[in-house]
Amino acid sequence: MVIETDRLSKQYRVTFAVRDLDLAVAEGSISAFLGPNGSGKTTTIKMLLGLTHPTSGAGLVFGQPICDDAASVKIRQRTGYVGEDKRLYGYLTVGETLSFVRSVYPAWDRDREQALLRRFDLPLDQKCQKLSKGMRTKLALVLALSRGAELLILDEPSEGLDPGAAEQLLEAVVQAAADGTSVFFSTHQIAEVERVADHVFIMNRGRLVFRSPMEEIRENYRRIHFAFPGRSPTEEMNVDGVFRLRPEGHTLSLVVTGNLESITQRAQSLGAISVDVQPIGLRELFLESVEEGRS
Amino acid sequence: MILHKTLWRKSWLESRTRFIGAAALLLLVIGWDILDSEHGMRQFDRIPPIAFTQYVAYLYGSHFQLVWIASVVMLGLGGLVREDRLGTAQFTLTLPFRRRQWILVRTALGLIQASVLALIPVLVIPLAARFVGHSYPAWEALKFSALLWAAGIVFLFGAAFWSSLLSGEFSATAVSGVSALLAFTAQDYLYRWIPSFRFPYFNMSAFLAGYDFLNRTTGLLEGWPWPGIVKSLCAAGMLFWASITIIERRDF
Repeated sequence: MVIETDRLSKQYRVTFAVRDLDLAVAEGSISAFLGPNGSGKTTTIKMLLGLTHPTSGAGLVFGQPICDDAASVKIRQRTGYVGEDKRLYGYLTVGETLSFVRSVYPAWDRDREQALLRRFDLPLDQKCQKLSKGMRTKLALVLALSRGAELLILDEPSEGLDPGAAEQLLEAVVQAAADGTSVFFSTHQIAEVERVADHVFIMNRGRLVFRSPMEEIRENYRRIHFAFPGRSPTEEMNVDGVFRLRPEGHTLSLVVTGNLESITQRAQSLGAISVDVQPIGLRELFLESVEEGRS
Repeated sequence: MILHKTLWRKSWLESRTRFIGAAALLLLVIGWDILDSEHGMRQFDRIPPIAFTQYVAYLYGSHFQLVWIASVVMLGLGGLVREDRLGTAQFTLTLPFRRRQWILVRTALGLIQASVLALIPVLVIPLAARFVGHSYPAWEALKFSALLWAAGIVFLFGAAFWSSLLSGEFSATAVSGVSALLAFTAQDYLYRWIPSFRFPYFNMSAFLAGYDFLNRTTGLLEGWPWPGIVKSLCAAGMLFWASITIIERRDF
């Protein structure tokens, strides 16, 4: 695992920003970190990078403890990060910023830097304070990708980007993953996740409420509607493989993670008069996970 | 890793304007005071008139102190908390350096810059004195500058301390200024208002001007205020330790 956390928590006075987070991100994966605003995604990322100190629990990145000062430097040596804010030193030009960061990373890949600069069309002579948010994001991405990082942590990288720039960003991320870099990114763009991610983690109110490989979602996750002649048997249907269960009058709506056949058989034995099985998208799963937290 | 040029480059780029501004201010004030010394010395209205060396000693004990403190306070401002307000702290802190390294380099550079500023009077006073028909020993200016430096680092580290607590550019500056003012005046008020106050008296202004070792007839220093130097270094050390502790524990 490239990232592992064990009951990682961050508490601000009486509020938990992150609570008992058990995260396991596989090496070489593209893992998406979803959640509503304020769900604890950014706080988690900050803890992984040593920007914020956990209140309790533990975390490892590359097997190095995130709370250890010296280990945190080693983690950052091998990690590329594009933060939520994407602010860079306004007094440096794009070219100076590249040279500044290049001097810190011995494994800097000049070829990749040049290729990305060509792709993103960044003005080398322009001061960073004059760059648009999209340009700043592109530059941050060049800095993160060119350092020879083994792990990319991106916090809402496509926020504020036009569709063309967002597409370029996704291509760069996929390319990085193809080159062997693990990617862990938070986003609100579910369509992006469906396109590029192979693992999904969903946070809500500081807790991890959902985790699954994308392949499993596509192959095994289904929504089933059962219609019953009378009151829907909610408790009797809460069996193995049921992820979410919602009674709506005479019908029962289920999100299942597998075990489809035996769930259907059980519903029929309880008197279900119709069965409707549909594939479920990540967007629905996200809403189900978050709704559950709200209720 | 403290020798990594990136750390120094960033610290220099972020402090150079303040440093150059402080140097220009010192240069202007000292240069003007010396070039205008004939007029300045006449203000004393003494018979016989005061010697040039006495006039210089007077300058070290008067408004020059204020200019010096303002200069070193400027050098101590800025840092990671200010960066947090500007939005660049995440970028800085995700580079592979410890927070302690950033602070150490910034502080070391501040000390070097304060040393350079302290050398300005050593160069300017003897040189400008020649233009107005006087002479002043560079060694004497160096002794005064050593006192300026020793007292100045308390204010330098004080400004760094407040900058590690307060993110607002003006709040850190204002509180540093008020702290400097209190360092000069608080003890006098405490002794006046609380008769039982028994803390050993330390007059910052007198220390900066070397009053305890100043020959008032010649205007030259005849010794070193070692207790004051030690106290200054201890106070600066404590402020430095407090700044590091605050920054290392802070969430960004």
